[in-house]
Formats: sequence, C-alpha cells, structure tokens
Amino acid sequence: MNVLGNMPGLVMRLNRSGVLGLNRRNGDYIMKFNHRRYYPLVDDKVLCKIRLQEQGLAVPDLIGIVRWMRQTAQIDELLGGSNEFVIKPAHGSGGDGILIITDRKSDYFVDSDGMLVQHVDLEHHMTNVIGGLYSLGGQPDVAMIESLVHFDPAFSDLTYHGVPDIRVIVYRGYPVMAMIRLPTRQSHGKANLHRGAIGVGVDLCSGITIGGVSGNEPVSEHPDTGAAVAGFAIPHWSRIVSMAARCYEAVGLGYLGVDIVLDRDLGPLILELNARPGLNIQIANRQGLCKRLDAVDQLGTLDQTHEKRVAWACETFGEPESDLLMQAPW
Amino acid sequence: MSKYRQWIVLSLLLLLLGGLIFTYKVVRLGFPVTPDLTSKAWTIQVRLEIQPEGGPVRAELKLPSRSSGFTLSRENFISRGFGLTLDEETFSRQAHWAVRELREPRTLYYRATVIPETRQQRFAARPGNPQAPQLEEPFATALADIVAKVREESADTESFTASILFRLRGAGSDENFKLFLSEIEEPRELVGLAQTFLAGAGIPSLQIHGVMLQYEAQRAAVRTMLAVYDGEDWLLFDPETGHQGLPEGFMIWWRGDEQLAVVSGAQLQDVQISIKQSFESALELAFERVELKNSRIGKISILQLPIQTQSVYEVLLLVPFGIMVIVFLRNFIGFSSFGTFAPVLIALSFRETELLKGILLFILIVSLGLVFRFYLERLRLLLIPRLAAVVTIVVLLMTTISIISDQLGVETGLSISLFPMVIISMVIERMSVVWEERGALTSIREGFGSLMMAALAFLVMSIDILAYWVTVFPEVNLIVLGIIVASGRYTGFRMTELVRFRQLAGGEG
Repeated sequence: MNVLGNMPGLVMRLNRSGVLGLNRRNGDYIMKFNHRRYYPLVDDKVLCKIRLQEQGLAVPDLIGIVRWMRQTAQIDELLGGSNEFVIKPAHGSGGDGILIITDRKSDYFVDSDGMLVQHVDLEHHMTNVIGGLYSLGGQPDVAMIESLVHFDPAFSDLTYHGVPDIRVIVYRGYPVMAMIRLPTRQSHGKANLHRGAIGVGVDLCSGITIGGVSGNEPVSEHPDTGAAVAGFAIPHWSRIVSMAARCYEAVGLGYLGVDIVLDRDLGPLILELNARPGLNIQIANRQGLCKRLDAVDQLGTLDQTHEKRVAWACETFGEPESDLLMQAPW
Repeated sequence: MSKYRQWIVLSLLLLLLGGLIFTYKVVRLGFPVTPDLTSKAWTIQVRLEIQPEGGPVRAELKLPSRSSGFTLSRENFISRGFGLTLDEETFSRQAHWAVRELREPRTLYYRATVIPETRQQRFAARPGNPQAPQLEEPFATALADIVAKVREESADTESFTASILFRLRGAGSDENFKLFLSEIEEPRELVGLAQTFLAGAGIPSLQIHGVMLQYEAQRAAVRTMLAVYDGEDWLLFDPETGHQGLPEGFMIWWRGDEQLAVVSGAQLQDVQISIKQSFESALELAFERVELKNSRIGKISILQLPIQTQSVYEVLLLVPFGIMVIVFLRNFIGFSSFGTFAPVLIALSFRETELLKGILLFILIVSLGLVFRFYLERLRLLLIPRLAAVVTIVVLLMTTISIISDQLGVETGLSISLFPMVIISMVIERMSVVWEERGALTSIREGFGSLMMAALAFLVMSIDILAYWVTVFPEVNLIVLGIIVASGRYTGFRMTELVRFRQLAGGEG
C-alpha cells in the first residue's frame, strides 16, 4: 500500500469519484447548512424526540428521564412494569453510554449480551451519564430511558443480537444516500460501524441492499449468520425514506443523518438524528457523496413537499430494480 | 466580497504585517536574526591637556556628528570645574568648555561608543557655489592655466578632481604645480591647495576629517578627506591615494577647515584620540539603536518586560507554534487525540523533562492512573468526586516518583512536577471510557496518538531559534496566525482519508 508515493494521483482519483472528506464535509456542508441554533434539537435526544413526535413522526416511546442523582434510586417507579428498555445519555455520541436491557428477573437485569446487570450497576451507569461522562464536552447530562425496539423478523438472518439501523443522509430535504448497519457478534449487538457492525449500501429508490463493508473491507456475507447481505429488500422502504425527508422540516438542518430502525410491531421508528453524520456511508455504497450533493445544489428551486423530494431522489439516485436483484456479490 | 474570500485576505494581511514588522526590525534596526551574534563596537576617547596661563579659559572640541555607517551612543564628558555646553546642528556638533579661572593643568575627556549603523546617510548639506579664489600674480595666472589644462583633460567633476589630486601627489611635473607646491610646508595643506584649484573651476568642495576605526590605537591619526560636490551628490576622495569613496572603517568626525580642538586663554598641550574595539551583543546594540531612534516598533519585544514575566511569555508565545502543529496533524494528516489541544500542554511539560524521559514518565503516570481509575470505578464513586480522586492520585503519583527518583539520584524525576496534572487526569478518564466502550486496543492507540502529537508539538516548540524569535520578534506569531487562518479553509482530504477511501478511487485514466 504505497499511499504516500501515489498521493497526488490518489487525491485526483478520489476527487473524480466525488468522495467527500471530513474537512470538506465540515467546511462546505455542515458550516453552511447546519445553523448553530438548530443543533440543540438534534444534540439533545430528549428535545429531538419531542420535536419529532410533534411533527407526527414515529419514535420509540420515552419511558422516563433521570435528571438528578437521587432519582437513580427510584428507577423502579419510573420503569413501571417495563422489563425491556434502553438507557441513553441525552447528549451522547457514537453510541457511547447506551445500556440495553432485554429482560428483568427478580433482582437483576439482563443486558443485550445476556450478561447480568445488578440494580446498583444500573444506578451507577445512570450517575455516570448524569455526571457527563459520555456527553460532548463533558457537561452534565440527563439519562433517558426509552422502550426497547424489537427488530423486524425480516432481519433475523442479517443481524446478531441487535437491531439493524438504517442511516439516511438528507441534504437540504432530499434523501441522497442510505445504508443499513447490521450488528455483529464483534459489535456486541450495537449498530455502530466503528465497533464492528457491517455497513451495507442501500438503493435509495427500491430499498434493496447492494453489498457491505466491515471496517474498510468489502463483505458479502454476514459473519455470524452467513446470510448474503446484498439483494435484500428492506420492508417499508418508501415510508422510511419519506420519514427521513420530513426530518428536514422538523429540525431545519440542511445536512442531516437520520437513523431509523424497524420495529416488529410499530414499523419504522426514528431513533436519532445526527448533525455531523459520518462518511463511511460512502464506503458502504461504493460511491462518493459529492456528485449527489451537487445534483441537489444544481436544482434551481427546492421542492416544498417531501413527496416531491423523495420522488426526485428516487428518480435521480435509484438504480433499475432488475439490476439490483441480479447483482453479483462484490 | 464574500465572506469565503475574506479569510484569504485576512490571512495575507496577517502574513504581510508580521513579515513587515520582522523585516523592519532586522533591516532598519539591526536586530540579529540569530541569537548570540556579536557586532563590533568601538570606544573612542579624546583627551585634551590644557596648560593654564591664568584667566578665563575656553575650549572647543568638535564632536562626531552624523556619519555614514556609524551611530554614537553613551557619550560622556569628564571636565571637572568646567562649564559644558553643547552646540548641535545636523552636520556639526561642538562641545564648549569654559571656566572663569584655571590655575592648574587640567585634562578634559570626551568618550563615546560608536556602533555600526545599517543606514547610509548624506554627510553634508547641499553647498552653494564657491567664490573664485583671489590670488596675486603669478599665482592667479598659474591657477587659470592649471584649471584650463586639467579641465581639458577631464570629462566631469569626478575625473577633474582625480586628475588634480594625481598631479598634486607630484606625479606631474608641470611648472605651474611646482609653483604652488613650493609654498606648501606640511603635507596636510595639500588638501587646502586642492580646494583652491577646485574653487578656481567653480566646484564646491569640503574637507572631511575623521579617524579609521581600528582594533586598538593609543594615538589615532586624524585623516582628512576631500569631498567634492558634483551637482547631485558628494564624492569623497582620499587625497593621499587619490581613491574615490569612503575607506572601510572610516568614521567621519567633523567637516570644514577648522581644527579638532581650539583652546583660548590657555595652551593646548596635547590632543590625543584613542580607539578601542570591543564586541558587544548585536541584540544590545539593536536596543541602543531603538533608544536613539525612539522607535516604537522596535520596542515591541518582551525583553522590555520584567525578567520573571519574560520567561513566562517565552513559553506562552511558543504555544501557537505547537498549536499550529496540532492543526496540521489533525486537519491535514488526520490524527485524533484526547482533547483538542491537550497534546500541546503535555508538550510544554516535556520542555522540563526532555522528550524521551517525558514520554516515559507520561506513560508511567497514565498507566498507574488507569489502574487506580479502574479500581475507583468498582467503588461506584460519582463522576466529579471520582475525577477529583484521580487528580489527587496523579499528584501523589508525581510526588512519589519525584521522591523515589531523588533517592536514586535520578534528577529528571524532579521535573515531573510540571506535568499538567488536570490534563493528565482528563486523559486517564477519557482513556478509561474508551477502554470500556471501544476496547483496550482503541484506547491505547488513541493514547499513543495523543502522545505522538505531543512529541511532535514538542519537537517544533523546542527549535532553539523559535524561542529566540518569539522573545525578540513576537510578531512572528502574526505569521503563525496567518498560516492558521489560511489552513482554516482547507477542505481537501486528510491523509488518513486517502487510505480510508482508497477503494472508492476510480481507475487511473
């Protein structure tokens, strides 16, 4: 891998492929289209959830919020009868500090890895969250408890102990690229790429998967289930894309990552929004973002309705369905 | 102008401003670009021995005035009992000593330091046309002949003067010259004679007296040069050799036909000029020039601050260089670290410990701190008390390492006290979070990333010349700011992204 020697050529080829780098994402898109005053709406997951609910967008139910240290002792009241729930820092990033509880016995809980969690462990985790251990910049935070999402059985071959998570990049209201993140044994059931989940590109129009990557390496099969990752049609796709497009109106950010999960009973739910979405989606889709972003910029006037924006995106960025179903694994 | 263009204008302005101040200080004020540079300086002393004759005494001494290539500083007069007045004009300066009554022999001293000057200056005012000399016969006719003849054999003022001087040195055997030369008793009167010829041709001229600055001279000779005005500028000639131009090391002292010292009411027994060369710090000389010129720009330097403040500022002014390294490593290379600028603070502590020992101490403290941090985690302390406990443990660890290393006779262990303990505690805290959330490998890798950034920032900040520059030329930080602003709109790829996205690169072609 002689990267240094080929640097100028590599830079040129990456530019020609329209690959977006971090500096350009920050300087030309986030700084330009994500107004500071809208950041709290996505950085605070509680505010975000409330705003999305106001807009009629489906989200996992909020069970409760733990704001003060003393509340951690009264968690049982807050939980009511819930045996399955997720504790998240409201200002967390990168999936840090998320504790998933899948079951409850008399005096202990069971987490997503099947490990036992004592009541005191749960309380301690919440005090860490409230103290700001996982929040951006370390400021004091609150712990939110939301109901657990049960993944759609359609995904049973494609995930290991966790909920696959669909990421759609929405640029100025238009969905421009999508991928699905499949949890693996290595990622401990979490759908974070840097923890070892697989990223799989998804055709924006049909919702059919087009081949995955683990880290930066291509993969054609799920390492734990052995199922092929390409050629799978994600259920409820058109609803997923239009929900993502509607988030633009909900929070006003021009460059947005929308994370959506499919619940067995409730269908697509918006898990969280991201004002600084990562760039791995390009690797998962084997395509750079720049050309698609430029296509949106070249539209003279932006469509006001999400239906029109989704239709345009489907027409512009979608591949013929027959090609997708016939694709060879790569 | 769009605000996306403004950054480049701002950055250029900053670079230009920093560059201009720097250049002005180096070129005009003579600030040395490298430390420990010395320049020559000379101490000149004039000693007048006066033998009283009773009654009031007045003494007059020509003082060095504006000269090409030299400036004076630290002038003093030693003249017990005499009243001193100075008479200063642009091109002539004189000291007047006077005393009502003088009974005993007295010695008057004038002493000054001559420092090299970077700027060339005019050394005399524009003259009027000279009066034609009124001479008796046969001199008048001889003069007219000489002027006519030499003018015929020369092209301009310069060659006319050269030709006159050449003939005066006896090289010509012209009868007319012999007539004039026979009147001359001392060689120094030759200059006066040359002036007579030049006046005959209507060329303004002036005697320039000075000394050669040399290594050491107890009794330096005054040399007289001939200056002629060619209508635009003064040309200098050495009457003894006929060479044109100011000889190297010649310091102009006074102009005109007068003597160096004149005494009335007493006898001037002896006039002695002594010269001694010394080497002085170029920087100190530059500051003397700043004082003489009263230059505000030259005073922009932290060397004007109290000493203890200076050393603090020397470190502070180096920080932007370290930060520039971090900007480069993060936005151009693609490093990531714990805390945006924490590596710079760690790098500052390396200044006291040296690099290798600093890195070892850092690793030692962080690993010990991590062990304690994991133990504290099991105690389920709340976040803030736990952080406070980690800081305290870090302080205790530092103290312990210092005491142990002192007993072992290892001195570097002592300098550990300058480690930024709060920063280290935060690094420990962040590392332990990453350790739990993303695994030990990621955590250790990011820890080493921070350490490497600190090491690189340290290497840049420890370049000797930078420490000197920020003290003498704090404006270099304007240049650093300009570079940082310029890099602020770099939206190209980071080097690590080239690896990360390499599979997305299309084919050659």
